Amino acid sequence: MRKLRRAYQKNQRQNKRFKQRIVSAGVAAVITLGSSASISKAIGPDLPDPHQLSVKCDADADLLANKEETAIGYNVFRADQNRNGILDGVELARYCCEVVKELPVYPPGPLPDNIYKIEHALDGLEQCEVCGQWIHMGGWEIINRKLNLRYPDPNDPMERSFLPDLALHYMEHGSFDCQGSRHKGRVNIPRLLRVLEVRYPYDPNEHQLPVDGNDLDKDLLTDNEELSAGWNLYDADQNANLIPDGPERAGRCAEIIDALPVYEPNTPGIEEPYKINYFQKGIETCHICSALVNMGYWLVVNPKLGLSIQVPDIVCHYMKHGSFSFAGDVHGKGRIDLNLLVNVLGERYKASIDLGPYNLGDFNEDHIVNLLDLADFSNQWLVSTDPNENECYR
Amino acid sequence: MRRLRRRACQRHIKDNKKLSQNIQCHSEPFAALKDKLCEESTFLTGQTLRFAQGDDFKILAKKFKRRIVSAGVAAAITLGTAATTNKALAAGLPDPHQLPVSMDSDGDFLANREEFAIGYLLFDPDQNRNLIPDGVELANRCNSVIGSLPWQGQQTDPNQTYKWHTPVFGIEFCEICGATINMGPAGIVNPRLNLSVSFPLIALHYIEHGSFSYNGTIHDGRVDVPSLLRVLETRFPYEPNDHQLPLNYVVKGSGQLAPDANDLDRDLLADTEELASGFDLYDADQDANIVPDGIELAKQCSSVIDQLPVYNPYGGGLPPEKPYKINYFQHGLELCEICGNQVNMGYWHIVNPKLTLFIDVYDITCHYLSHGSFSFSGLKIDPPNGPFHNGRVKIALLLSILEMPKRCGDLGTIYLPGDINKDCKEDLNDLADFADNWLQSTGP
Repeated sequence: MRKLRRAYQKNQRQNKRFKQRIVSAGVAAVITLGSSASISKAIGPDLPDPHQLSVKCDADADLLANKEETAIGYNVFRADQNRNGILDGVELARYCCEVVKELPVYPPGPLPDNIYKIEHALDGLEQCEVCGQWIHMGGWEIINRKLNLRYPDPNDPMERSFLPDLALHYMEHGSFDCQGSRHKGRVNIPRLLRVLEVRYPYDPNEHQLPVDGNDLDKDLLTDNEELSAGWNLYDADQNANLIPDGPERAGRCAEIIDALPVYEPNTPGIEEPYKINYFQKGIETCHICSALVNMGYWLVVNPKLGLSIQVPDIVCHYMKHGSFSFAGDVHGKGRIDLNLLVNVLGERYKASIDLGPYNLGDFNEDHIVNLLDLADFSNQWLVSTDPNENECYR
Repeated sequence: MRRLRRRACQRHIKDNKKLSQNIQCHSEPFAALKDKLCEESTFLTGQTLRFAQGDDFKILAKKFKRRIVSAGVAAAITLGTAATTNKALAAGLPDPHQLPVSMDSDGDFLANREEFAIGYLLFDPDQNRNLIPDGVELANRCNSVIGSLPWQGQQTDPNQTYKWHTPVFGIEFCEICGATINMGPAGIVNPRLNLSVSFPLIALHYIEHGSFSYNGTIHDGRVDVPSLLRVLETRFPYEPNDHQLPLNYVVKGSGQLAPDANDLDRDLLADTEELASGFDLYDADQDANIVPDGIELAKQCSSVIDQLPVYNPYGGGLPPEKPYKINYFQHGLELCEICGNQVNMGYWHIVNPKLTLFIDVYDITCHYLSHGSFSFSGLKIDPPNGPFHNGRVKIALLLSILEMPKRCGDLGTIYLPGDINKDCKEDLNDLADFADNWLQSTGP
């Protein structure tokens, strides 16, 4: 009898506490969901090249420290913003190395107009601690005349007067850190980018002609175009994918036009946008690359809206290279009516570029707040970024 | 004995039934989500979840551990239920001219599309935390800027932005207050940017009352907010102060105050200063509180300097271990070049004993910092108006000495994506905010 009573009382106590426990169970679930991803991200990803040394205080393990990402306007918690499978830091280092290598050298010759480099040749070699290669222990001083800036800063802890060749060797391998027998340290990324006038690991193209009108955010879209289309004229990279808005949109428009079905004029019963071939017997030469294109045009039609636009083949050529402006020997210099083009392409254009908005809590930007976001949320559960508590966020 | 045992058993069964019904009740609101959740949880955990089905309580109890995931979701949603009321409706409307705006997720009187175009946050109605909806504040600021513009024909410079109005023979009435307004068109022209914006005159009446939407007996609609801001060359609703000296400000005899006038993002912090102190030189408002970074940082520094403990080196005590300041005020005053206020001509000697760094900050510098400027310019009283202390604070050094960012919210603070309330910690408060948006879609 006593045993039965005890069992009954125990059972009753458990029932009473059930409701209270559901809340703590919820919290437990949140943490549980994140447990699979709780391993430090800095250790998690494979580092295919041993030159890519891990970086301290790098929340997303993209080989750019939190402070560096803040300074250059990158996302501190996203390792691969342009989703090309390469870590942002690796991509940026390789790109900067390319840019530095291509800079004009002075002296000898006339003083370059804007950015140039000066060689600091030293009589000696140093060894890369990773691959053992012997590298010149000198380097390059980079000057930006327009901004009156030079790299490195006179107080740079790694090297005060030049960017070591060893650093370039590591940058070529995707790392801003370098470890050699003489030079050890990290490149001052924000300064290097500013001196080089580079912001994204994105290779601009000579076809991307400068725009004539005002372009506040320097994204190769004029303020007027952005205002008419309702785009953000204060942000050069609205979707934070490290590609300026203008070239990205031009490329997308070219892809959409390429994929449009071709019909004969006045074909009945078509509701979706299509194009009509008005190519001519003649060619046109691109002013930049001298490529030969047809001197005719596509007539792109949106039957639902009753709108159409002529897109010369030379314009398609430039759009593929990321420019809405064009220069050919038949059509001359000009710029396509961007807002009309976007309207004609209609829904196809909107579907091709995801600019949000994303709800609070939609961390993976898939336009819905769901369990995947809860998993992301739980991943950072109780993590503090208070500068007083966590030195990585100071 | 048997009777007692039977009664105990009956009670036990009854309690179990109640409990199972209770769980069923909890699971019912989520029935519609069942398939989706199962699908997603299968993806996440590799196991298909089961939901309570009333009588199979025993099975439920056995598999409780597996179901903890669904309980977590339930808890997440439950926590957020209190905040599900439409925010747009919840916001108070102090002035009836502030007409509600359609497609305004955060109820700040700026449509989503507008916020997107001007770079504001779509889901934060009060980005600068001053309890005024962003749209109202922005309209008030625009009103102030428009008020200061010359009318067409009165410009002193051909590139000066001006406003125009073409009166017509007729009036219309404001639907809210009944004010009579000419029914003619008006607009603003920025010749330098070759941009213009036009609207009916009644729109100015509504902008004056904090609304970009207008409703008259003849005209109703909404001003093109992004175009208006660009034409006015205004982006944020903050009220600028004359103390906020531009980077290329020159003082006679001393030259340019700032060593570098390049300011890519136009936030009143020079590029070299941003590079030295690690701020974002591509974004004028990196913490999205709609105040330019330079002004915000100067005010934060002023506040931190104010709160530093004062140490008297002649008092005999040991100096503090944390940053402190020593008063080196003098018997004399200097004038602020902008407002004419008199301040002490002395300075604070600010020391960081841990870093063994120090900086001298004049009282006039503190005056300018409190007004949002790192550049300062003081004048002598005798001889009158001669230049005295002027220059620009070494920002990187000052920030190092003050150990900034020091507090959560200081410029440069990094927030986790899940730190929705920006208190520098991802906790239950954020979970509640997260749950508030549970399964909400922003898909096109």
